[in-house]
Amino acid sequence: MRARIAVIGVLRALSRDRNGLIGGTLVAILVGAVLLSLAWTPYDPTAVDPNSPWLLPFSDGHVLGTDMLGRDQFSLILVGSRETLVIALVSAGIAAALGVPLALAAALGPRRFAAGVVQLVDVAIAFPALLTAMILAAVFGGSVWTTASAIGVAFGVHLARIARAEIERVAGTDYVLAAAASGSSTGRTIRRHILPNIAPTLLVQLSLVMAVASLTEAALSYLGYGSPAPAVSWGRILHDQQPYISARPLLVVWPGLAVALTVLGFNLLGDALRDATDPRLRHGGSGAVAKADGERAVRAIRPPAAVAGALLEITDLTIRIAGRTVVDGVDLTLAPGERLGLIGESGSGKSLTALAVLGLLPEGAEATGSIRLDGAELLGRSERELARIRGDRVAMVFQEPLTALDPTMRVGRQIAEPLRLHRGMTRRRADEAAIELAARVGLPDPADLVRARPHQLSGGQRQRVGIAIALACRPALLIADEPTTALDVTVQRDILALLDEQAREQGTALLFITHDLAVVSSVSDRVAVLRGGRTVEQGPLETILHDPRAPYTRALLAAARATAFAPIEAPAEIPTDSVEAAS
Amino acid sequence: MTVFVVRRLGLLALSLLGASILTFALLRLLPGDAAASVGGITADKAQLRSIRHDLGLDRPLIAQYWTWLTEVPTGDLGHSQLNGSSVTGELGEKLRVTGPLVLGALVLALVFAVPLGMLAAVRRERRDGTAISVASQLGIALPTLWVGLLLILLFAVQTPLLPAQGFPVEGWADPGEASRSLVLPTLTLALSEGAVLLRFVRSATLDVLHRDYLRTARAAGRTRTGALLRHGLRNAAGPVLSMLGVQVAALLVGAIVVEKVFTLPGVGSMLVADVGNRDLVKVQGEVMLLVAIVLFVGFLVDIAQRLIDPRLADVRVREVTG
Amino acid sequence: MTAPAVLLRAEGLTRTHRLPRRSLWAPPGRRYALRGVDLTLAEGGALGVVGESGAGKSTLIRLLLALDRADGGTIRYRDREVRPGPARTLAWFRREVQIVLQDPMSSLDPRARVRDIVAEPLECLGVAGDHDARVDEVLAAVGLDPDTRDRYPHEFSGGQRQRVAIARALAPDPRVLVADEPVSALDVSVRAQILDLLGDLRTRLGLSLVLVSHDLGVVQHLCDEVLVLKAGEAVESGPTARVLGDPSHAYTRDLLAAIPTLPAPRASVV
Repeated sequence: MRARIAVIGVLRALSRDRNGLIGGTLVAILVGAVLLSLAWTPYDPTAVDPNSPWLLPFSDGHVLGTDMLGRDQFSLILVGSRETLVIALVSAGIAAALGVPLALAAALGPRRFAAGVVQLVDVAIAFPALLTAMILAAVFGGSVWTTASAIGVAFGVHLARIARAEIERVAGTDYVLAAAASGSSTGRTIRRHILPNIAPTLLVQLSLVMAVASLTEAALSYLGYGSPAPAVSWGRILHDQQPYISARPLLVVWPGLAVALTVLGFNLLGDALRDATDPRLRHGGSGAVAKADGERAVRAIRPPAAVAGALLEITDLTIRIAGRTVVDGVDLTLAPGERLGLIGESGSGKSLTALAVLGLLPEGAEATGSIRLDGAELLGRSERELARIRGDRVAMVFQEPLTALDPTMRVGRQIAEPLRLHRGMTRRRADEAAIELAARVGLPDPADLVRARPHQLSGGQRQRVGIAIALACRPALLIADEPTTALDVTVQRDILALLDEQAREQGTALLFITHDLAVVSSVSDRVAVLRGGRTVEQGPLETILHDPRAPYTRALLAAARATAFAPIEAPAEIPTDSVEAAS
Repeated sequence: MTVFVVRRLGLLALSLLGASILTFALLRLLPGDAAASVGGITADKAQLRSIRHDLGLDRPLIAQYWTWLTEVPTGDLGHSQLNGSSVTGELGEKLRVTGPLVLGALVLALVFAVPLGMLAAVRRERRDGTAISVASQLGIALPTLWVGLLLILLFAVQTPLLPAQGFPVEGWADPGEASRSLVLPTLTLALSEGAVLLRFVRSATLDVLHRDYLRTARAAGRTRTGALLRHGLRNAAGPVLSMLGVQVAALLVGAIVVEKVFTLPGVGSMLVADVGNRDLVKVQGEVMLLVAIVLFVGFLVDIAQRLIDPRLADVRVREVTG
Repeated sequence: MTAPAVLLRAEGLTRTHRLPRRSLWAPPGRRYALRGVDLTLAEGGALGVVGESGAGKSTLIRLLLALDRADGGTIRYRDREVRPGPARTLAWFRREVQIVLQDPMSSLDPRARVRDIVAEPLECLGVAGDHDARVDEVLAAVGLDPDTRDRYPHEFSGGQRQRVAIARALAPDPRVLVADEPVSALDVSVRAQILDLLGDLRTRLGLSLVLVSHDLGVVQHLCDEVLVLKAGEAVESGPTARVLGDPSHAYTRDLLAAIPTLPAPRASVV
């Protein structure tokens, strides 16, 4: 019952998807052709008719014409579909039966055994299917079995390699860990969690195997190593017609087209199946991105309230993603050198607001309203113009110091990047400046450290590199998006101190984004509270902390106080017998 | 790095050994008596025995394998069982056709697949990006041999610009003529493999596009395109490179088909003919050569990947354990 | 007054990892993820394990739940030794000790429905009785509508997902709940609710708790004993009020000093 509902769900999703529709139709046509050919063909496909050679399409009931022996091409192609489908299915079956157990053994087996399997797979991959199929055909005589087993084995090892990576990924997830803690045996975990979660990848790969099997079958038959006559194969029709290519070009078009459409069908179906079997994608698929250009023009006309001497002025900022409003009329102002804390929970729109300032919104996001820097409008500027401001007047520090840095590039080069872009420094000059910057953000042994790559640094050091990049051109505004959330508390303290010290020293204004009220209270003069894309409250830090107006701010403060660490002033009385000194 | 190269070299040697055993075993499955085909139907038992002795077929399989194995590293792949010609010599000659064909196709495929694949990823929401994507999907579906036939139809039959088939008997004596006869075959192979490569490049680029470091580079003042070229390219190179080993295997197999379509005297045609003739020693040498090339490319790819992405070479346990 | 019985006792827990080989000649090094850690959990007690990243918190959890093999040391539950092994040899232990992980998004199988997720331990541990009824019961206990049982994890908010994960842990009616950073992936307002739920379950069901967290606030609110880990070693342990109020180890003092604090509300400052 539940399985049937699931199948119907997948079919529905498939029919909604364009790829699925085309792929499904093509594969259905192939299956239909096979079934039809078993019951009926317009002519006997192998019957030689000396009276009607070289007939053009649609003459005398020969839809696709006849060849030099008078054989009906449509009937031949209809019958040839059998060979293709059978070999595709048998190959996929063999590949799955071989590949999945191999992958399970390589991913979950004892280490030495797994290493052996991996090594074997690596060697086997070097033997192409076509080559082994030819040799097998020479030994046993060409047949469905020689072809399908060669393809099945060759792609079984490919499948094993891909499935192994996928199994290792799933086996490392928390839900597999949770299953083990729930008492699930290895066998059950494989059945209930690993196989269902690698199934989409397997389906995609198996549809690819079927596609490649169809191609390989055609090539083999063409080379003369496929199933011998009377079996009909599209590849052999191609081989037979090649000598007459200049006289009757259409005769090589039909069978080739049949192969191509079949392969296309398997490939498209595979792509669509991957999407359709994912429950996360099946419900509430993202709609088309709504363009709101007209509206932007209307909104931008609204005269923003000018604040004299403001560095950054955000007025009525609204951001839509996929038709959903995620930031809804946010107003913020920042004076030169001011420190503004932007606080909010997930989904409050705080990060998007910051990204909008730099023109770094994700693709498909549409911003309206006004963002003025030094009185000049930023919204609607071209990528090139924005790039000139980014890293120079406005810079940003991101949350994840590991992923925010290019893993393949030495950190010194990354610190030097804004200097080369905005100050036109030579590489040598910028490299020297990078060492100075590294020293300024407190990195140890800066001259050596600039030669390291991000993975060789600790989390705190990486974030210092991120700060060095941001401060390189002495920006007027530094936006820090949860810069300490990924860090340990002791590191957080040092990074907060560094940001504060550098901002003060250079007179840089700071827009500090965080979910943590305690953190915001140490780096802000003013605080703005965001919720659901709206500014709930804005005011001096003191007011927000001690006399908040909005009920949401009060609730947020209460929740934070309820879970925050409260310093214990006087130590409680200690019963001596319960003190266990750590070894 | 040294540790890695040494270890990887050992692995390569082990793989080659494994491949040689597989090749040898696969071919000894071939039924039929090579001596009978050499001696012809008139040969009597004594003659057959002496032929077998000459070919070394009366020795134990292990001994035959050992002889072959010890000769391979010296570049001696043995002699044809049918006419006694040197396998190494003939392969060297045939490689003068297959080598340029495969290398040319690889270069051509890279030249059009890498930029187009990146474009298809960057502009996937736009019409041109979708068009490239659809075209590559079609390109993958077209059988190589059919692409070859269609190209012959277009450029040799309809408008006779290039030779439809064959290769000059004098080989490269006339370089112009020889190159002309390789144009269509190279194009065929490049189109088929390029379409597959394009999909790899597209998905590798798509993966890189959403990485945080591109955003960091843009925040530091690069444009979207600038960031992709400066940081995206080298990061996407790793995954694409890792597919290169498989790609080379596909190219070699494709060459077998293409040489047949265009009747080129290359390694592929030689292999097809020798399998048909059951010339064991020759097939053995040819299969071993193809497999060794694939394994060696895999070795080079692994080394190159370490050089591009130092994280692979320098995994700290801190990151493994979290 | 007799001391409460000890439920879980670990002694000298050690786990090492091999480092990648750096030279052809020298043997590869080893790194201690955990080194000689002792802990005890009394019946009805709540033990907090605190430490920064790399302190060995996750390793400790895996060892405590027999999900990974220790290189040294023993774990005993009610004086019976617990060793990693085939699932069926550990069923008795898993019925008593259950786990809640950090990020409910990743700790729930995206392809499974809530009913199957929550019923998993019942099924695997061979718990007798009507599983559907038990699922409804624990869903209600964590504040979820039993009608949610046919939904998939992605249809819930973060806090609701963590409730599902807690319901799964409660299903076999365990005596001990081991929670690995149970609220650090959640928003502040949701965090308080989940902590309240855990505290409430503890008193209502008489559960004992091992809570692993980098957040001293969380530990302070839920635990009566604390163990401080640093780089795989226990540097300090004891009653929460003593360790957090008067730390004896320099590292604990540093950790406490680094916590950003929210100024107390003025109203309470008299």
